[in-house]
Amino acid sequence: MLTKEVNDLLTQTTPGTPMGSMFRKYWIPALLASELPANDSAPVRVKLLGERLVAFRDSEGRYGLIDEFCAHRGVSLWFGRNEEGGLRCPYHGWKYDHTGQCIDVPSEAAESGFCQKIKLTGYPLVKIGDILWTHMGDKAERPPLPVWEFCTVPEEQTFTSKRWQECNWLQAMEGGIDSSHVSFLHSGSLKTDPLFRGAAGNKYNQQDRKPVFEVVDAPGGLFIGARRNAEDGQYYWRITPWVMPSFTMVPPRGDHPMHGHFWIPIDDENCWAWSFDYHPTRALSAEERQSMIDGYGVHNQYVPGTFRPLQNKDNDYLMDREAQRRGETYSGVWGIAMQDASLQESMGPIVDRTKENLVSTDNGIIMARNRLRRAVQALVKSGATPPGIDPAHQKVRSVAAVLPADAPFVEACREDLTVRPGVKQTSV
Amino acid sequence: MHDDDTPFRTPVPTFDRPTLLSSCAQATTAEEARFRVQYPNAAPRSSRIVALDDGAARMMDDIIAEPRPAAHFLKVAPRQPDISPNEVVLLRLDGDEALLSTELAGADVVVLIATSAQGRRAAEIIGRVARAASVTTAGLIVTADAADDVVRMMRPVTGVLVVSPDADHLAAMLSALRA
Ligand code: FES
Ligand SMILES: [Fe+2]
Repeated sequence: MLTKEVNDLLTQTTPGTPMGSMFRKYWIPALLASELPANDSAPVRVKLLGERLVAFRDSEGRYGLIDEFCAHRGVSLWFGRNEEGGLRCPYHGWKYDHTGQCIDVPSEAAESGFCQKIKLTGYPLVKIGDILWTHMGDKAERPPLPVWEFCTVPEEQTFTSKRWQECNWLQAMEGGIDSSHVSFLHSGSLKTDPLFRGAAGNKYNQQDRKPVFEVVDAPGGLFIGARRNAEDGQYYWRITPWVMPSFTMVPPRGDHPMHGHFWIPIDDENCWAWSFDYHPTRALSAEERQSMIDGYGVHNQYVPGTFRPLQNKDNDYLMDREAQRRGETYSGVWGIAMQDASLQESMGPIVDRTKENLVSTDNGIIMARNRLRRAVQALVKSGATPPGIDPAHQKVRSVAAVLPADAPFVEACREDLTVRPGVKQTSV
Repeated sequence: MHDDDTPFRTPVPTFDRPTLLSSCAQATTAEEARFRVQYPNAAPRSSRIVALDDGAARMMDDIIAEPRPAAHFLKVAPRQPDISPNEVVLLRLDGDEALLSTELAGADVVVLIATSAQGRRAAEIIGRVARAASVTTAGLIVTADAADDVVRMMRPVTGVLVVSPDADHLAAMLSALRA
C-alpha cells in the first residue's frame, strides 16, 4: 500500500505538480509521425501532462506543438488553416509559426510589430523512428535526444502503435512491471498469439507456473527477473528492464520481435499506452507486420479512425464468457493489450493504493514506486537529474536465457541486457 | 508448425449491449469509485524482520523509529550455542534472546536482510525451517558492489529477492507489505 500523500505525488502530472515537473525533464512520445504525414497536413489535437496542445507540420516540414488556443479570443487552432509556413486561426486570421510565435495579426499594421508581442507556448517536436517526441520542460535544460533502440533501428525493423487507456499512467505502467500476472491473465495467448507462440522458452512457462522473482536496482531503473526451473538444475530467466519514468520491455520469445511500452500521461485519468515491436538485426516479415497492424501481440484493434481500442469500456471490452470457459482467454477479453487495459481501467481512474494488500511477489512494483518517489523528491529538493535521461540508461534490452542455478542474472547477462548494434537479442 | 495452431480469433463487435450503471463505462468513473465498500479487508499481518549481519543490523536500527506493531525486529545473536540444527538464537530490540522456533510460530512473512555473506549459517536454517512451516520469505540484499556470494546465500532461502545499493528500500518494502 501507499499513503494518500505518496499516491497523489506519483499520480499527478499536471503543470506545477512534482511528478509533472519530473515528466517534463524527459523527451516523451507525443504522437505517431504518421499523424502528421505531409507538409501542411491537418493539425492534430494533442493532450499531454494535462496540457491541451495542437501539433502541425508546416509548409517547410517543420514540426510544431503549441498551445491549442488562439491568443486572441481562445478559439481552438484545430480549426485553423495550416498553410504558408504557419497555422492561421480561422476566426480573425491571427497566424502562428511552429514555435507558437504569432507572425501575423491582419487587423494591425505589419509595421506596428504588434504580432511580435504575442507568443503561444510551444514545445519542440522531433521525429525519431515512428514517433514525434517532445520535451515540455525548460529549454535551457533540454536533455540529449532519446536513443532507445526500438526507434533508432532502420524503419523496416520496427513498428509502433499507441492506444488511449482510460486510467492514470501509473497503474497502467505497473502492469508492465508486474510479471506475476502473466501466468494467469495472458495464459491463453501464449499458445495462440502469432507474435508469441512457438518459442522454445514457452515450454518452461507452461511447465512451471510459479516463477520466483528477483528485483535488482539499476542506474536507470530496475531489472526484474522471473526464474523458472529448466533442465539440469538450471534456471530459465525472463528479464524485464524498467527505465524511469515509464519505459518497460517484455522479455523476448525465440526469434520473435522484441516488444515493450511507454506509458505517458494525457491527464491524471487518461494515458497513452505506446507499444512497440522491433528486431535488432532483421527486417520484420510482412506476416509479422500484418499481425501487429491486426492487433496481435502487444497491439490492438481500433474504433475506425481513432486511437480508441475497439474493445473498450463502452462495450464491456466485448467480454466473451464462452471463450473464457473454453480456456482460450483467461479473463474472457481478447488480446494481450486489452486484457491488461480492461483490468487496469476497472481499478478506477486513479486507483486508491491505500486499500491494496501487496504481497512479496509485488516487489517489482514496490521498488519502482520507491525509485519514483525518491527521484521526484530529489528533483524538488535539489533539482537532481532523474534517472532515465542519461542516454546510457536508455540502451537496455530485455533478455530470456537459461543460466546456471547460482548465477546473479544481471551480472551473467550484463552484455545481453545492453544494446549492442548489429547483435541479435539474447532469447530462448 | 507451431506448438498450438488454434486460430487466434479477434472479437466481433456487437452493438446490442445496453450501457447500464454497472457496465464498465459507468462503473469505472471517479463518481462510481465513491461507492466502493469501505472496510478493512485484511487482518493485520505478523512479520519478522531478521538482520543477518552487522551491516543489516545497523540498517534496521535506522528504521525502527516508525511504529510497526505487527513486526518483530530481530538480529542474529553473535553467540550461537549448539541447541539444534533447526534453531537460531535471535536478539529482540530490547536485547532479550528469542529462539527462531518461537518467532516463526504465528509469523506470516519473514524478511531477511543481508549486506554480506556473514549470516550464511543463520540464513540457511531460517530459510529451511520457514519453508517447512510454509512461512513466506523475502530477502533484501543491500550492497553497493557485486553481490555474487550474497545472492548465492540468499537465493535458495527466499521466495523473492531484492538487490539494491540503497537502504531506504527496507522501509518502503515494509510499509508496502503492511509489515
Ligand atoms: S488477484 Fe491481483 S488484483 Fe485481483
Ligand atoms: Fe500484461
